[in-house]
Amino acid sequence: MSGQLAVRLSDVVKEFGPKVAVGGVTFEIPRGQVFGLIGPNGAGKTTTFSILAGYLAPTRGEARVLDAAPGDLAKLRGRVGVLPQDALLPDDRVGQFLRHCCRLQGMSASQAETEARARLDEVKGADWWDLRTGALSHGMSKRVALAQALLGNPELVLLDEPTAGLDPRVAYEVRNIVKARRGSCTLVISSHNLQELEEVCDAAAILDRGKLVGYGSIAELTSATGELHVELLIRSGAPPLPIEPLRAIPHVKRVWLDESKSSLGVEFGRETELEAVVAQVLPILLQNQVPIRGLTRGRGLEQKVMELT
Amino acid sequence: MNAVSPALEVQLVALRELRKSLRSLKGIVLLALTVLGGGSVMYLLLRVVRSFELDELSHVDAASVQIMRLRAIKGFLDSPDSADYLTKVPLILLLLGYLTVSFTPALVALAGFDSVSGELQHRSNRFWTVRVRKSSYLVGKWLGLWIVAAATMLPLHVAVWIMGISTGEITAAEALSWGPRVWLWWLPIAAAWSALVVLASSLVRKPFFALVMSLLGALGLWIVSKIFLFLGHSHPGMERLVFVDPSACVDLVGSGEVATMLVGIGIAAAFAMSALGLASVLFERSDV
Repeated sequence: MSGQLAVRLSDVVKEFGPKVAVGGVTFEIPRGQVFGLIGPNGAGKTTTFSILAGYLAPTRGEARVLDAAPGDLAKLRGRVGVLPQDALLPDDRVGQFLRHCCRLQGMSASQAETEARARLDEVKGADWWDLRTGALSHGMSKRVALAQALLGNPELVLLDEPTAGLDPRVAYEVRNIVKARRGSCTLVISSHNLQELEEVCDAAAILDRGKLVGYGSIAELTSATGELHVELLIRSGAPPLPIEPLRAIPHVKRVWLDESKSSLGVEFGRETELEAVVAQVLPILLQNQVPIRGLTRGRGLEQKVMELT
Repeated sequence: MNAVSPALEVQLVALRELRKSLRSLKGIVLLALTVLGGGSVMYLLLRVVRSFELDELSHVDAASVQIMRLRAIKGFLDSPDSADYLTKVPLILLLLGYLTVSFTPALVALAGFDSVSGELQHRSNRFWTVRVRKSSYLVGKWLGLWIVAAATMLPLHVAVWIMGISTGEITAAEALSWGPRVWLWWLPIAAAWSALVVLASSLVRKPFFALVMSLLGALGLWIVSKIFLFLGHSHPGMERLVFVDPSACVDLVGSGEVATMLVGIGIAAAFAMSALGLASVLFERSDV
């Protein structure tokens, strides 16, 4: 495995009895990237995540993280931080739990104390040191779990649904913590929240029913087919849209109106630059007095995922 | 910074178990029950025995009483060879020793049934498995449970020593001489049962099932042990298999002979290592 890669999955299969949870998934994550694992319920993203974290062993295929097998503590101790999705914090006081995690990562008692307090402070939980984990709210628990994932500044941080069930304010804070880590480590985020992933991720893998159905940078995923969306202000009595002149533009393959979204879609061949298409589409619309509210490139990640899954 | 030896891992896990158990409500209740319950049972047992001695043996001379006592102990023991030595142990401490051994499976099961299964149930062990070897985790849990059991039982023993001295059953010298020995004999037995409980606790995700498995396992081993003892009468050699029940090792550990004592400790240690080894192999292969 190249040292440039943080994660490599090669034809990984995970079966639970007759059920195939992950069926031959292959992808790579370069070091330093923020990578999203996307898919609907049952897509296999948590299973894939669990394989990366070493919780589950693949039935077939090979998984490597930081040039080692997941779960190889001799090589990975302290280098991989994990925020599991539905694991309850062990019964303990917050500070003692975090300090114990640090000690198990090989820190001295004084280092452990300093590091635990710093990470708790990072998740805005400095006052929670003496609280029992059972007394924490869901949002507080999630942030303490995030703090433990960040202990020791690991090279690879795996986050499973980091903002699930959080109120918008806490989710925003968690997103900011994740963004602040960008560039200092590799982050793998499994989430349902596609807008959030589109906002923070550099690249993503889209899973559906255990199969990889999409994989690439966010830019590639959201503009893979070359699309331009024109948001319109549709008014009664407005002149008809110039659909045929738009279709006549070279390399334009398809033009359609999505009335529910007041949006005009223009699909074009990837050999054409977006700017060239915009330069031809806009004059036609303006000449025909079509009121324009905005232009967006390609398709959102959400739309892409809806198409693929 | 990231080099952590298995020994340090075990130490850290065990220390956390100790801290948790000795401060938890369950730990405090268990300690109170052990001391008060065990102390009460000891008091009653002693009164029954003394009452029997007063009613039935008051006309018998001391030498005959000693012979009867030896026969009684031989009848009670799986290994009658130890009886000669054990007759020297003050009665109150001998009763305490056997009471302790008898209640060990239940005490250890109650103290540790949820040690692993509780964390499996809520997947809390996912926070540990990225930081500690699974085998170290289990050995640490076992060590913590063993020390907790020992720390829970010691106050009962001390209370009985004090009770024995205050009632004139034993002198302070006897209490300090025999008392610690009886407690130490019990330690290997507790180690073996602690390992069995950790094994049971690591096999299931529901703590209740771990408790049931531990108690049924103890009962099963006791029954099998007694069957081997019975078969030993007609098939010489079979009685040696009584040690499938680690509690039977107390006869060897308390034999007073170093070699026999070491055999007893060895059997209990082998039992503990087998249970922990099996637990580690299964846990290592299992998904968390």
